[in-house]
Amino acid sequence: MKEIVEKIYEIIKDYQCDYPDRKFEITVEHIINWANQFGDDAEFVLSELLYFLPEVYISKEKAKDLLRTRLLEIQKFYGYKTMNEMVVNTHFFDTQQNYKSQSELLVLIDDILQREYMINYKDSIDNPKANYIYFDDILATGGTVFRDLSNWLESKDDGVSENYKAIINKTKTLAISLFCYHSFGYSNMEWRLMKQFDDKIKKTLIVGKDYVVENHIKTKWIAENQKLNCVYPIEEQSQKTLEYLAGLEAENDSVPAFRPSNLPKTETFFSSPENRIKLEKIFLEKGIELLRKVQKDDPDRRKRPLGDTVRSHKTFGTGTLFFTWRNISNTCPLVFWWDVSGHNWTPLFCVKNRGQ
Amino acid sequence: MKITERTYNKNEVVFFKSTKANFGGLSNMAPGYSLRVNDIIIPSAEALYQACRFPLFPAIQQEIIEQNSPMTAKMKSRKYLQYTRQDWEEVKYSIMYWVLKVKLSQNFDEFSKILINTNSKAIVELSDKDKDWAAVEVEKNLLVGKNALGRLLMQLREEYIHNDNCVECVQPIDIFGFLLYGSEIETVCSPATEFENNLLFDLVQ
Repeated sequence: MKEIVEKIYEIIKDYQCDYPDRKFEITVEHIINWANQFGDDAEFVLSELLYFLPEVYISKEKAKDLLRTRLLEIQKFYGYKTMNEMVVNTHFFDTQQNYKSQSELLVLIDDILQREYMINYKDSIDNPKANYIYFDDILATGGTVFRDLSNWLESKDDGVSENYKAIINKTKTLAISLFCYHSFGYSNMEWRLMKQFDDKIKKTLIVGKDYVVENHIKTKWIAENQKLNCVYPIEEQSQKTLEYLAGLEAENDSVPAFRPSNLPKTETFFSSPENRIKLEKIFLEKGIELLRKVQKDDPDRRKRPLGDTVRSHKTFGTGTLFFTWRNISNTCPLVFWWDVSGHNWTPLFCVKNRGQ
Repeated sequence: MKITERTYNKNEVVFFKSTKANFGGLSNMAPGYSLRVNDIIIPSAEALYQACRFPLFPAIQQEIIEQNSPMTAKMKSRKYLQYTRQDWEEVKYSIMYWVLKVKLSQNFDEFSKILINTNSKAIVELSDKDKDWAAVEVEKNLLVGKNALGRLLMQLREEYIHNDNCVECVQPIDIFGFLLYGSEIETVCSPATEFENNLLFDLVQ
């Protein structure tokens, strides 16, 4: 087990390395303590985690590499000869509050541009721009990206006509850059943008992404082609688990709570189909156990055992298995981040203040 | 559903042919009337209708739906006519009416405005040769054809505009094998309903 833990440590050791108020550093002991909370399943949980973690953990250095590559892609895509030309003509959205991911990504971008290109993008921040780019780390349900983009699309930078008209008639471009998006959330965001503004938004919105969580399973044909690289349990669950689902106050049951047991067609994310089922069950049951400890009369309806989701969705949660160095997404299963005094649970990743 | 041929006086009807001309939005080829069924975004009513021909062939449906232009979607469909569902001739008008209901539900502001503007006149799709879905001008101002699409649009206008029935959500039709991408087509609702009830995502933190 120690060898597994050390390998995990090597991957996640920089978690919140740049956050002075972090509750604790990642250490081998911490990882062991977290795993031991799963009792006899501790070693299994760790070995399965190690199986997929290298693909889905974005360290700070990896984030810089991805952003560096993205800046070059953007420059090439827009056809600018130099990075300076690209930066002068491009606006980086800074719409999220300081403790959110976007502002932290902009700090990295600023650092890359200053160190490697001697460019301070803030010097040209007031220049007229042709391109608008929204950086973020993860799009899960799509709500945050939709809200920020729609606020900008409906506003009038020129004081005359709404920005979405400039995007549709291609006098300006709009792009999103993400480390990861969830296919279902992305589709929901896209649909709402189309309906709120114009169908042409779908074709004009430029998207750069490094990883996709394929969780769009409403139709058989699409579902059969999804990797389901997340926690998405099958229907064969304990009575307690099924009772939890039945008792949820959520009106939208058109989002499937369970994946079909024959999917994914080929297991590419977990070490085997059997191990997937086992891990999903462990995370789900432990998550329900943690939520049962909540004493509030009006608990947050988004909180689910497999991670936050849309209040109206009658599911166990988003089940995200994608992590970045800066902060764990609350759409990941609770076992990774639940940290409530008196609940007797130590999370693997501490939650940074999300300003809530 | 049987539909018989009719004649119309061009001066007394609302007719449409080009999607860019007046009442062009009544055409299934009109851009800007996207749909979403079973969480799949479909660019036009034509693409959805054509996809319904091939319920057992999701790959063909996908090829049709991925076409941005409704005309290309129709052309893709023609490539695979031999895979059309066997009862297509019996169900195609019911399917088209369902498609129109979805179009109205999910594009209510724009589409209802056009339907209202037709007043109570006969609606006719004008074509150079299609006497089934449309009518042909056989001599000056004399239009002849089954005009199936125009008549379904009049039925839609009667049911949801004149009689003011609710088209917030549209149930699937009761036919065997009404499938999209291998799954039974479910009830579809208007985006306004989805957004107001936060069915897609929460915007209030």
